[in-house]
Amino acid sequence: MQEQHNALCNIINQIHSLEAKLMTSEDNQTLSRRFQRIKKSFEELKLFVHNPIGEDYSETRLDCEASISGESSEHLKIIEVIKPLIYFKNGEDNELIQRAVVIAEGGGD
Amino acid sequence: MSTTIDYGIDLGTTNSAIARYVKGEVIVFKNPITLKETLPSVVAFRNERTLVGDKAREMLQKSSNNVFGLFKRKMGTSDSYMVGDTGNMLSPIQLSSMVLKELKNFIHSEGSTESVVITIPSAFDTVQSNATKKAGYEAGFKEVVLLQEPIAASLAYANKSNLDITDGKWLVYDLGGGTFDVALTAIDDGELKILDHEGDNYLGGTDFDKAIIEQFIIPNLKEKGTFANLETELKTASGKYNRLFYKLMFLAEEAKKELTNSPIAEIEFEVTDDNGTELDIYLELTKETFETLIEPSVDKTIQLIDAIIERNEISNEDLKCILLIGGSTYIPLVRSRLQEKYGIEINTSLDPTTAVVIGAAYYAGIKPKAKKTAASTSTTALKKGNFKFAYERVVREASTMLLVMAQDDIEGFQYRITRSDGGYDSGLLPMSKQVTADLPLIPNAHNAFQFNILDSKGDRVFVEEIGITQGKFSIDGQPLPNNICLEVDSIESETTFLEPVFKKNDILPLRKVITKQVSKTIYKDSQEEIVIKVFEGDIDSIPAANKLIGMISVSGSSLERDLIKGSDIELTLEITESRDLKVGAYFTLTDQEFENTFSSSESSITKAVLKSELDSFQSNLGVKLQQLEKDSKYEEAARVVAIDEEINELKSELDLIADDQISDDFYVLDVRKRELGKKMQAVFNTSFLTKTIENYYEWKETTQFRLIDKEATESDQIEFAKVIEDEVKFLQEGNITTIKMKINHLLSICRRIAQRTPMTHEDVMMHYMYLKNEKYMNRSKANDLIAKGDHAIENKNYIELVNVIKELSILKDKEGNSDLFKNKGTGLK
Repeated sequence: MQEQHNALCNIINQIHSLEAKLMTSEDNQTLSRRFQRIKKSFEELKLFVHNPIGEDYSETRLDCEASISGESSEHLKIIEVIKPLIYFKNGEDNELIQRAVVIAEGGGD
Repeated sequence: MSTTIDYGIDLGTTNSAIARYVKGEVIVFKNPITLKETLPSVVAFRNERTLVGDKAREMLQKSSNNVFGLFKRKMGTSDSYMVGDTGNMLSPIQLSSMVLKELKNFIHSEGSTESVVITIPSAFDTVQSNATKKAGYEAGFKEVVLLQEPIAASLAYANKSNLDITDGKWLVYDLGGGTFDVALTAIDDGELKILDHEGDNYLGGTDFDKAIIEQFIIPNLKEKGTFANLETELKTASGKYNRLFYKLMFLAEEAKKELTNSPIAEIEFEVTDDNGTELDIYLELTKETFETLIEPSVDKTIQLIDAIIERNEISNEDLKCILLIGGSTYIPLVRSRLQEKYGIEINTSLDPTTAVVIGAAYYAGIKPKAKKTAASTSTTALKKGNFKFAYERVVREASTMLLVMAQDDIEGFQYRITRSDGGYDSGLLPMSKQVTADLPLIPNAHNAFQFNILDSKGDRVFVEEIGITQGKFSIDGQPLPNNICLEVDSIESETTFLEPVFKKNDILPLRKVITKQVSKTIYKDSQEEIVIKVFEGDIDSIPAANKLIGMISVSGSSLERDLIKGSDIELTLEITESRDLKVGAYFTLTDQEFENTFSSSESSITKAVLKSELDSFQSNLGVKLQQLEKDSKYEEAARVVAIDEEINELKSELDLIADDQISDDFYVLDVRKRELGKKMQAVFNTSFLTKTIENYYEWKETTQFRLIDKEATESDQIEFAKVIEDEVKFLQEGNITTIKMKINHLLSICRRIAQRTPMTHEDVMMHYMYLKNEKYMNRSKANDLIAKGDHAIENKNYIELVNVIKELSILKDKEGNSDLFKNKGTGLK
């Protein structure tokens, strides 16, 4: 199971990188829909992928491993997501199988 | 009950760990939250919160006044650390004891934890050793036995290999993340001891990551793009590439790991250089190149070993092996260089990150407890009845509030809340009679939290399980409780109005893509901005009478080129079931996208925004008051004065709140402001409606006139008929927003026809010619310009004509000057 999860996490990370790269270059609904479908397929495998970009970051968030850029460490926002966070949902249980790797920056509202 | 100590702790300079000896085996405890076997030896203080470990390390670079690491180097000195936020002084002993207390929390098995073996570097003198003991006692241990790290590693090695070491010497080579130590270890007369040691406190794996960036990535980047002061821009907090630096640190570390079992590592990232060129960087770091980069560091470790060998007058052959510990010993070059140089066994059988703690636990497993310690001292254990917990068990929001009230005095205790999936940890916070915490929730799931209270020694004295279900009920079919609207500019005046996006009772989740036009040209690098404001509330009222739930502002400085008036903005609005609002704006002309998510638990209300809205209310009221007094409508004037007084009152209350204060007061004042907005609306509505209906008729007439043009198509005719088909109904209803939308629709028909007409500029000129006198601020200058424009039309000098139109548009007294609810505008129409 662990090995399977590792392999799937690697695939999800690659898809995340592709999405980040492709979706910034143009507003491509076709691509976007396909990425959504891929995510749905992972959800059928009980793997829920979440991209925390733009979310608030604080030291209480253990679902992310952050590097803090910029001058301020107050009012942190996640400005870049290198790896998304991945949950394995088994019934009522949620297991965080990959913490997001993010860059957070301070100075927001 | 065990008669041996059993527990071992590696209290490291950069990382620490705890393990237990059980029936011949050693278990390394995992952090129950991060599930890692090691804990960064870093302590951070954020307001009242104490953080130990990974989250503290994240803050290390940014908040040096409140975050402390590497304090092990200062053990036994009188140095102390001042916590910037509180001014409290902390000794290295106190900081170490916090790490030890945190490690105690890793223990999930039964058994007494009053005795422990703690490892120390071989270089520690008596004072430093005693300081470590003291830290152990401060962490609540009754008995602390110290063990030198190289001996611990050697024990781990001996037990792992089932070796019976009876004689000989070997080296323990410890290359960690930030430090290097080497010890000559020997068994002499059955006693395991350290003969000599050397070390460098500033040599380790992070130096290798930096070498990859500085000597490989940066030179490559400079070749591929234009970068001035790249190193500075990367490394300084205010540098424009500082964000990239942290990404590169991650990529460099990944590449370093990759090269332990691969000949090539790929490094891939995007960057925009100083010329604005977007670069897709793809680099291949070969094992050879990497080894060239780190060779000087590895050679330095060899020099230190040579110094030991020379000092102790031994030869390579006298050494049985070199035992490798520390994460950086995974690097093949380290192993091969040692092999080449000394020609003896390089032992890599141990897990280099846990070897020391495993050895400490083995030692603890055979070391009898020195004195009988009393059973658990948790006499301070608190009873369930001492506390009252209040929280919602089923919630729809992304987070929920927990309230804990203590019956008795609980001074000196700390509390900590963790979520079972490992996604949340409050850190250690001082316990008080009343504790509130905002608990973040995993969507559509049951969230299990644990509320722990710890005594001054870090022992857990109370625990409460808390279960909260997020979004499970009514996931499907939740209706939207209010309209969600977008604020857009009115075409005919400097006002704004609300356009509905989602209607009340629409079923969540919702998503809509709408296309709007830019109502004013925003020049690149200018201070002008487009403001996308999303409101919740009544579409028939003015924006300020509603609740602002999300805002994106894009200024000229963020644009890659000028954003021309009339160009399209594609807006995507999404509302999730938990009412998070996501707003995306795509500017087709500049090919840029801006996006933000607003959580319903947040608010964008600031003192400045509230103040500016109240000022705007008063300015409008002033104009209205003058009109009413002029028309001798004293009763209505009195109502206006009363509203004005209420606004003054509100402003005085607002002034009492500090600018940066985080307080519920802003929300309270915002609600009152919205109520005042509604009162104003009632006062102004009649005249405002009349004015809007007049505008509608004007535009209807203009459109009818346009439809006669030969450029007008049948589809324009059909569209026009559709706009006016329910005219009687919407005019009778008197819904200002609907009428304004109709006006907008008519305008877009006119604009479309005009775009097909070559006479556009002449038409605009004609429009200015026929404006009433009072529409110009300077009528005589306007007359001159009109004459000039007339002349330009005659001569078909369109360049001149355009200039004349521009000047006239500046002279034109804006209709909005006499209008109500005038504001800065959004830039959207």
